[in-house]
Amino acid sequence: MRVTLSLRGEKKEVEFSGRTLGDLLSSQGINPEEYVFSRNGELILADEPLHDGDEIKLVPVVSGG
Amino acid sequence: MKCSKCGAKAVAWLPASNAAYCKKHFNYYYERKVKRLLPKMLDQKKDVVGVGVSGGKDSLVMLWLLHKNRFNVVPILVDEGIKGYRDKTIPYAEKLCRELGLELHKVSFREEYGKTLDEMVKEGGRNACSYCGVFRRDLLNKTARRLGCTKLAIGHNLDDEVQSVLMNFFRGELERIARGGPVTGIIEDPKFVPRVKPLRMCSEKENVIYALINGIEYSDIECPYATTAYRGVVRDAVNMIESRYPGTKISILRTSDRLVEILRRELKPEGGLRYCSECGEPSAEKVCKACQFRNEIF
Repeated sequence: MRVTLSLRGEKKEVEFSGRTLGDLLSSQGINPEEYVFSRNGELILADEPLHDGDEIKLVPVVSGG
Repeated sequence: MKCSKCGAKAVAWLPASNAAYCKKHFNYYYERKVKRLLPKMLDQKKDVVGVGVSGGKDSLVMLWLLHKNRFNVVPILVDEGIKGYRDKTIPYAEKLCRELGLELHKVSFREEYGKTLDEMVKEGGRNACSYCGVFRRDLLNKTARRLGCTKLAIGHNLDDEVQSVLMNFFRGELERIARGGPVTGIIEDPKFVPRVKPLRMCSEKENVIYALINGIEYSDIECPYATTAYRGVVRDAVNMIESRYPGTKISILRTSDRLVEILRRELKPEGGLRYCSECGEPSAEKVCKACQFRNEIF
């Protein structure tokens, strides 16, 4: 499946084998504790099924000083 | 995943509570947690609450919640002078204050001390966090006092609190641990505006989720000096333990709060708080840290 990851305005297309957000995160080595995830403005959790062409926004948990 | 309360689609999974929440029930869970703490820190009828805001998620969520709960709030923004960082976060604080109909009181290191933090770091021998911590605390206290505030609310979250406790513990700084807790300071003094931390039981992640759910826009950039801080090492270690043993952070904070009570009885200085011999501000030493740093740089 191909999806787009978006972080602080930068976008990257990635391909992974799997079905859910959790599968995507594992495949990309992304720690789910470090981000909150959204799709089309809605927050999603690790068990959320993804679809080809989805854009997933990563919102960093750590920011500021 | 379904909401543990109503079965609707969940937007937050909280391992420490072993619960998942939809938007409505996350808001309920989060606001209830903060509302339970507020009466222990603030008097809604009497207190004028200075609110330290930066444009980041924690301070803006705090301002939003205090305003929502009808506290008399006075937002204060300290511009340290960090190019490419603070200038980008300030507009978010200005926007929320405009939306809430509040006047934002802006003060800066340059106006108060004659130099920006960037200049201090360049010319002085210390790291940025040392200067920033001391001067921010000094300037927030002075400004809150000048504006007639009876309390000063700062947006420290659960992660900040736990990191501070452990850093002080690792460095053997018992006096600093004693100054912590829900309301800071060991003794009362008219020159010192007591600091409260309404979000101290809320994790950084919960604050992000609350901001996103409620449409509170904030700056998500990181301070360029944060990467050099010891705090980052402690943060990573605590997060690793929390991910394996959920609830560790809350447990550390609760233990620390009990320790604070014991330490305050033991360490209470006799004869009241001292005043800096140079600037007259409250100080734990003969010359306060802000004056010590100023003497080094200027």
